[in-house]
Amino acid sequence: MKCLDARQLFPAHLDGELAPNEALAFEAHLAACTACAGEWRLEQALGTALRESVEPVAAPADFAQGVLAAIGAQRGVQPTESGGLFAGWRRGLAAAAALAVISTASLGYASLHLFNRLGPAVVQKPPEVNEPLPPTTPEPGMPVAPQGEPSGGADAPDVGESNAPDTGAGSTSNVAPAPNSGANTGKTTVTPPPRPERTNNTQIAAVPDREPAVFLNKPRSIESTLLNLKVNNVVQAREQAIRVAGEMGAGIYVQDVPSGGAQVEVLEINVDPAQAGTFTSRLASLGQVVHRQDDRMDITRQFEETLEDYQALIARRNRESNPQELAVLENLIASKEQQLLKWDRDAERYTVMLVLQQ
Amino acid sequence: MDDVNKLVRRAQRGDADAYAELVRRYQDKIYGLGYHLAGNHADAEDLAQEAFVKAYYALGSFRLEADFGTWLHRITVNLWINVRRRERPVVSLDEPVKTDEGEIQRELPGTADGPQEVLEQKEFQWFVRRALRQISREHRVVLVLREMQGYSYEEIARVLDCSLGTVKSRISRARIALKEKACSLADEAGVVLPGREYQNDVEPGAAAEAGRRA
Repeated sequence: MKCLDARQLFPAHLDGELAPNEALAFEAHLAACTACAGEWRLEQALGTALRESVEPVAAPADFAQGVLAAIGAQRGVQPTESGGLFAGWRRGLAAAAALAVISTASLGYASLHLFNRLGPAVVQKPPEVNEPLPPTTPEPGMPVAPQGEPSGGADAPDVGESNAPDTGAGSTSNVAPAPNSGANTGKTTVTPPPRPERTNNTQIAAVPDREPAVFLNKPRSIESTLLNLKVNNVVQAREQAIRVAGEMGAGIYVQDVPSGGAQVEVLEINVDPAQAGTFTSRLASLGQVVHRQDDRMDITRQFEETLEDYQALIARRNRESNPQELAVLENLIASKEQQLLKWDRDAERYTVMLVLQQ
Repeated sequence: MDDVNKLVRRAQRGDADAYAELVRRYQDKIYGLGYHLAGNHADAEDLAQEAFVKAYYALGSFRLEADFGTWLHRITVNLWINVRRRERPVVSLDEPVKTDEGEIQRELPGTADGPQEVLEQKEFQWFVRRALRQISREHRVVLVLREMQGYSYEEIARVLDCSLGTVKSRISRARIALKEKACSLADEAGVVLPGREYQNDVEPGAAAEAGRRA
């Protein structure tokens, strides 16, 4: 066996895969060739060094909590054992599932997506481009999406912006809505709203820091009702609900229709608190009330925590120069901002979670 | 596995407790993988946490016939390969070599005329770890999975979602890359790696040729 052949057998022999006669020939060569013997020694030593440098490591004690907190912070839901922001919803939905004959899987899938939609499938008439939005009526049903850049750029990109620049006012009405980001595939990841195209990296450096949205420090709580209706025709009932909501100036998020095959629709509707009573009654009349649960959630703490995260991320983003890190940070910032804006809006409104089943 | 599948199904339906339990069951493995890939605890924690968060969001796409642990490993590996974070600074040559008697400052033997010393085991290991940090991420991944986590070729193929043949050739090339890197680091330091004392006796061109053919 020549050196060349011997060297080529190294990988196989390291894995103990040489046939006995090959192995013999190999060893014989090594016995006669100091160079190959040395090289073989080095190969083995490398493997041994790697294996011996393995340190038994364990995750830190509070690792699982950290994961849950990270998930909670991104979704606005604290998925802890003892409850959290939407534990009431989960209990409510679970009760509804127990009472009604619907597949748990499909309902659960809907709950996984609760409050996580970026854009509604049903949208109120979008505002005209260049028409300033009235500050008193919050944008119904629109996902509040911050501008990517200050409107110093003259182009009005086709994202349906209003003239009002994003000065980060707490009122959501100054923020231009973004079109649906195509978020109807059941994905839970939150994606940032579409921005004007950046074609090369140098543009990123040139863009001035985006103004962060400003949020007031105040107690916030979300009042809500879970209304579970049995209806003859789910699609029809949904249309009726949407019409009622439209008449009362409510905003709607249609949840993903679960693909489990069961006839269930879940709608999240935000309405002016003053009209909450009337609205809920009208919805209830669309079918047979299987379950109703009223809830009031104090989200002040969650809001504060998310706000802190948001501000910390912005500070980091302002220091960051690496484009890939920037992209990651921008994603996180956008999703937190989405959550904060949504909470801000929801705290001012009354939310009805309408579950329609056949 | 059935137990894990139950947890995964529950987690897919939004049961946070179930997901918390899954995290607890796999955290050491994933953290360990992260640690050996990234080389330090801080990055390992970031990477592992990110992997579990990403897995949570991707639960909907996880098919229950697959192995959850393998899936987690794949997410971790892909995260590490694809998301290039600023690497913490590579250990410098002045890093003291740890011995049982305490840390000693390593002294480089003179390269000019003095005899080159063959590295002792612990120093050699230090070179190898450093070399591991400097080869490409694709190569590092397979070496960590194979030599450090001890996975079989089949398991690695499942994690990387490629064929057995690809795994074998990737590991082969990774070993060569590691060896070359370790040797060049050694040359810089003026030391000789074990086995290389008699380099001159090899048939001319054999080493390079073997490397090319692998």
